[in-house]
Amino acid sequence: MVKRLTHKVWSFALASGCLALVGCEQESIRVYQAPKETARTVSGHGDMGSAPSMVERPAPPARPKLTYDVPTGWSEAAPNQVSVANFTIIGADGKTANASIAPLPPLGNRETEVVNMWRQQMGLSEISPEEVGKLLTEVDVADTKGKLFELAGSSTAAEGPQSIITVMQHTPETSWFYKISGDETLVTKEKSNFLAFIKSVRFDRSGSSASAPSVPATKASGWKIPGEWQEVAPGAMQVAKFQVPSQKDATAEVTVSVFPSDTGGNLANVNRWRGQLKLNPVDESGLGKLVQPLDAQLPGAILVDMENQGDRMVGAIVPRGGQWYFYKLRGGPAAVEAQKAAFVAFARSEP
Amino acid sequence: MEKIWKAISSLKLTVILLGFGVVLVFIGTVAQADEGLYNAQERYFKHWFVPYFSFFGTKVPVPMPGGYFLGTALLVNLVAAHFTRFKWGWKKSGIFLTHIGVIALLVGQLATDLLSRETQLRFAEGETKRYSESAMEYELAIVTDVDADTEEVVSIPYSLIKAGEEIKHEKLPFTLKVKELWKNTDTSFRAPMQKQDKAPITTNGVAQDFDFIQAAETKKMEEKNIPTVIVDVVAPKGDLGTWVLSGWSGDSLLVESIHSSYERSVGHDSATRISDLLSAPQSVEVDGKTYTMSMRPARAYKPYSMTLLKTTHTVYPGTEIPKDFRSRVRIENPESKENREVDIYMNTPLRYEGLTFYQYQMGKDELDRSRGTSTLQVVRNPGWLTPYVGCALVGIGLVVQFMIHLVGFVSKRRTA
Repeated sequence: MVKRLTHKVWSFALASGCLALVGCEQESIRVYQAPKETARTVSGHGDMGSAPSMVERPAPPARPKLTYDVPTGWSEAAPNQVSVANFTIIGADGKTANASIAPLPPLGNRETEVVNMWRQQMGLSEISPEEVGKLLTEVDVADTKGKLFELAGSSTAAEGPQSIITVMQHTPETSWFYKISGDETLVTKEKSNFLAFIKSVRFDRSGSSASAPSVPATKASGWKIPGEWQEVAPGAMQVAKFQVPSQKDATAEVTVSVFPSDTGGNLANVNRWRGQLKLNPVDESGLGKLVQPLDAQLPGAILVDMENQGDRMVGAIVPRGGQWYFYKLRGGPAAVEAQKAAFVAFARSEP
Repeated sequence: MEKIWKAISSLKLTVILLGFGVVLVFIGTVAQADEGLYNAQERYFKHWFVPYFSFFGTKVPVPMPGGYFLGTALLVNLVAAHFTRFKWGWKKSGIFLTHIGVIALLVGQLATDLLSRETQLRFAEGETKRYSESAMEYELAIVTDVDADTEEVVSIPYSLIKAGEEIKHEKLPFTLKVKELWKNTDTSFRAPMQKQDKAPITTNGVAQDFDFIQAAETKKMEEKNIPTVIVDVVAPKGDLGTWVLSGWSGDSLLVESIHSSYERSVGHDSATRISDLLSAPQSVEVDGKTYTMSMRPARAYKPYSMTLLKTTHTVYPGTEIPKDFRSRVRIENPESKENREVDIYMNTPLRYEGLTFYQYQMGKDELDRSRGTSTLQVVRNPGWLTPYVGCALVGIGLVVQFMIHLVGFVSKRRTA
């Protein structure tokens, strides 16, 4: 009898043990100390995979101030991390649309991807580059030309048919996107206002934010500017622009842009310049044959000289003080040739 | 009582339990198609009872005993039967060993199931890590600085977060009121060129730039649920606002996947800006201390660090068949003053401090393609020896019992 009892106790103990073991699985709030880690955002190079505990929310990037005529009925909203201007439009029936202006890195060679990305947003299928080409129409924007495309479809985020009109304006340094989207009827009604709005846009470089690259005024700078160069108002994203003397009806101009990064590196920038001259892009080995050092005293600074169909460009990329200076002398071959030496001295000089 | 005891120790019960076991394994395996591997494992094998089961897409409302019940019942039945019927003698030593082996297998499996834990350690060449992360589970981590080198973490397991409830802890000077809890979510960037017909969930933190939308729970093996919780942070001195804490922001792998996805359409620089916005920390300040909140993969910290020195990834020429996956790793353990390098490669894991590190995956750093990355599967299994011991005991027991019978049989023949 005692033996039987022992057996029962054993069995009971085993069953209880299993139950207790299963019961141990309960989770609870833990508090522990751990070594602090260097966070890594995708743009940073800290401890990969760590929680982003050490970095701050990125500040909005430096942007030129824009001026524009706001159409009647549009109310301006605060810009966000990406856009520099936002507007809300409310129709008579309460339907809404939004308009915005956003600068992005140069996307001139990615128009197909851009259009298809937005088609995807509208629940539309992708289309070929040829079809994208047919979709784009030229319109006036700011003081130049832009490419417009319209999309209509539906959205899970909104009720009823939706429409989006986008205008892309590509500059060497930035692609500007002007957009109006929302209720299809309202967008169609506001299209003429939108076209007038984008035409009225003007870039005001003096209004750039304080975090923009610090470049001295050309007159007070250490740049070696030839007396015959005439300083003119720079374009968007440019810090200086000069008209150089013409030669046999050939004109040329010098422009300078400054960025806080290499904007993709020498290969990408030289190929962007080649694209402007309608030349085919080169690979790394081709780049090596194309460029030459600008100055032994300026490590990493390069000079490139390219020409195609009467359009010549001498360009220089100079890393200096944590910033990248992009110099361009472009115009008729004769005018460029006459100013090349002065241009090289200018690019070498400390601003 | 005697009848109950008889029933518990009966061989009929053994057969019935084994029968249920066969049925449960069959049903649980079939259900993986409908419910997914992890869900099916959890519901059929890691529970005491299964209230209903799925069978080729049909929900069958028939309750079944779960894996825990069958395992425990078999164990009790075996022990009871053993003590009831077994009479010790050298001639039955083989049976005794076999029973002990089966008990070791059953107990060991239960211990493995309850105590083992699998996490992953992913790092790039040159990077040092002190923790591994769960591939499936998330935690709500609230981190504050202790000093220049140390931070204090209050880790709230996802399973403890319930919509409509409050989260309080003595280490937190505020209460988290859970407004919404979504087991799986999708996210989209609130880019100016995209549609923004809805106001952001909140004007704090990541919600300014990203929308988070509740998604259907995924049960596919190759996918995982990415949770998002919306909380009101309430301090004694006032409301600190509504915050969206999502696995999309706290999981570095997901942030990198968003970067890759946008890089294809808008280029590296814009994609970097977008992914930086997604992963930027979200903090509140109370009494001069900053508390950073994130929903991140559940972490398991180690008292030592591991640095990935080099990855080797070679395939057989002309094929994609891996020839050598190898991670050269340095272990630095301040407690044992250990500082040594080891190779972890296919079929040759590192066993260290109760953990086993298996070479799992290799890849390239999303940021710096020249850097290799390695993922180690980190397995903690305190019961890892029990299957070996159990199987050895069963094997030895069967051999011993066979030999005893063989010797007895041969002896009888000689005598005859």
